[in-house]
Amino acid sequence: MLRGELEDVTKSYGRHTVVRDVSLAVGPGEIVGLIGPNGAGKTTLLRLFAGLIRPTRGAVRIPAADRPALVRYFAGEHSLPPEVRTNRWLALWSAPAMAGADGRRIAGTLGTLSRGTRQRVGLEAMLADPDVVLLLLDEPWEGLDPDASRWLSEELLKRRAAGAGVIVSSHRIHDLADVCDRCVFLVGGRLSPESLAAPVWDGVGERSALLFAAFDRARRPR
Amino acid sequence: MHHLSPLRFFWVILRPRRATMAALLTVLVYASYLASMSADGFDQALSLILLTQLIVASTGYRDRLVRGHFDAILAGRRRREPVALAHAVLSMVPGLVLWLTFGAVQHLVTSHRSIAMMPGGLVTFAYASVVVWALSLRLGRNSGGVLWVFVAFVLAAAGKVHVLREAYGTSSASLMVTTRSIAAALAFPLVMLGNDGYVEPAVLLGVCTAAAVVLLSGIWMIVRFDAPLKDPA
Repeated sequence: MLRGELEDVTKSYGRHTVVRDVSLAVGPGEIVGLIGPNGAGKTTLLRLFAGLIRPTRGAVRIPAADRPALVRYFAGEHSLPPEVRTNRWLALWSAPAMAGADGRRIAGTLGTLSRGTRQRVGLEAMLADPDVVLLLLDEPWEGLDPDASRWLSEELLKRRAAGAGVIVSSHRIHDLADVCDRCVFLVGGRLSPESLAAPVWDGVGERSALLFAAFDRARRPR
Repeated sequence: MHHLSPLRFFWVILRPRRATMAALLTVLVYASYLASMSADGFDQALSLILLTQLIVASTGYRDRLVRGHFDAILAGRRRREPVALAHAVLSMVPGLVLWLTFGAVQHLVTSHRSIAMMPGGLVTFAYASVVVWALSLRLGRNSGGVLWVFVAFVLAAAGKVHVLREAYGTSSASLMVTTRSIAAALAFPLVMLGNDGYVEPAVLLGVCTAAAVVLLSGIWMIVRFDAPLKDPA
């Protein structure tokens, strides 16, 4: 059973069309990477998947939408409410309390944390529930240190093993190459036919090179 | 599976900060002091608490929605009505607690039922709270309260408050008169604090209906909001 699906979806704000005729599905136990230049519509696509905005045309199907606890979306550290205390935010999502580099428990409000720590707190909260079936992450590796980046990649692989469908948007090709089963390219609001699937990959280095080459082809004017 | 209720989510997001709590407590103490001084002081105390609620209940919604603050509770949710209702309730709760505490304190001190607890007081409070909450959804935090106070000042400056009090004070002899009373109460709900908080049933029904319509409009707005995420830069 698909974890989420967009069918011929177009999203416009007034006369400005952000996403155009996109069809994309994510299945169980699958990680899909979403790559595209700035302003290509990646965030809009993820927000359509999450049901946060409505399509102007087309259909969004999220089988888990009757049980919102099964869908998680994280737009990045800037989307966390800055005045909320960190421990309260983590407790809200039943996530364990976090310790900083000095071993002390992270305290204070979310707005007082460093960007990287805030990103980690946001991800910890969204990844706390092991039963999530659809996970949507927008630039999740942004601001993370190497340890936290590795933690995130391992968490995503665990989710895949547990049967969740995951869509990750990122500019960090190497990180995507490390975890994704396939990558799709979004250019000018349209999905490019230059998508790559795991079977053609062999080793992270080659994956990254293939992804960069495919991304270049996807951006080329047709 | 971790199910998070919208009420719990907004309790964490909207709960008043320590400074706000201290300000609310100060208002309560000062209002009680005013009420203890004279009958006029009691009216002033109620107005002060209502003014506080106008600001506190104007929590705003759209600003925070486009910053992504509500993403976590809205993601994957087919129906947003429970989210909207929870937002409304928790926006109004701090002021409601203040209002009811003041009413209870007055009742204990004077042995009379406070106007705050009379139909006029409760309906004035509910209607004003709902209106400022709904106004601030799109306009932003505190905007509903500021707009309300501005309108009240304009009415006072134009000498219309007296006219509204007179229109409200007329007993409901006909449909036209009742309609005028309801209109006066909706334009300037403080008039309902007069007559020791007694409100004609027809007027009460009219104002309650208006409050319900405003509440439903606010819920509808939250359900329909569809805006792109604001660029954090």
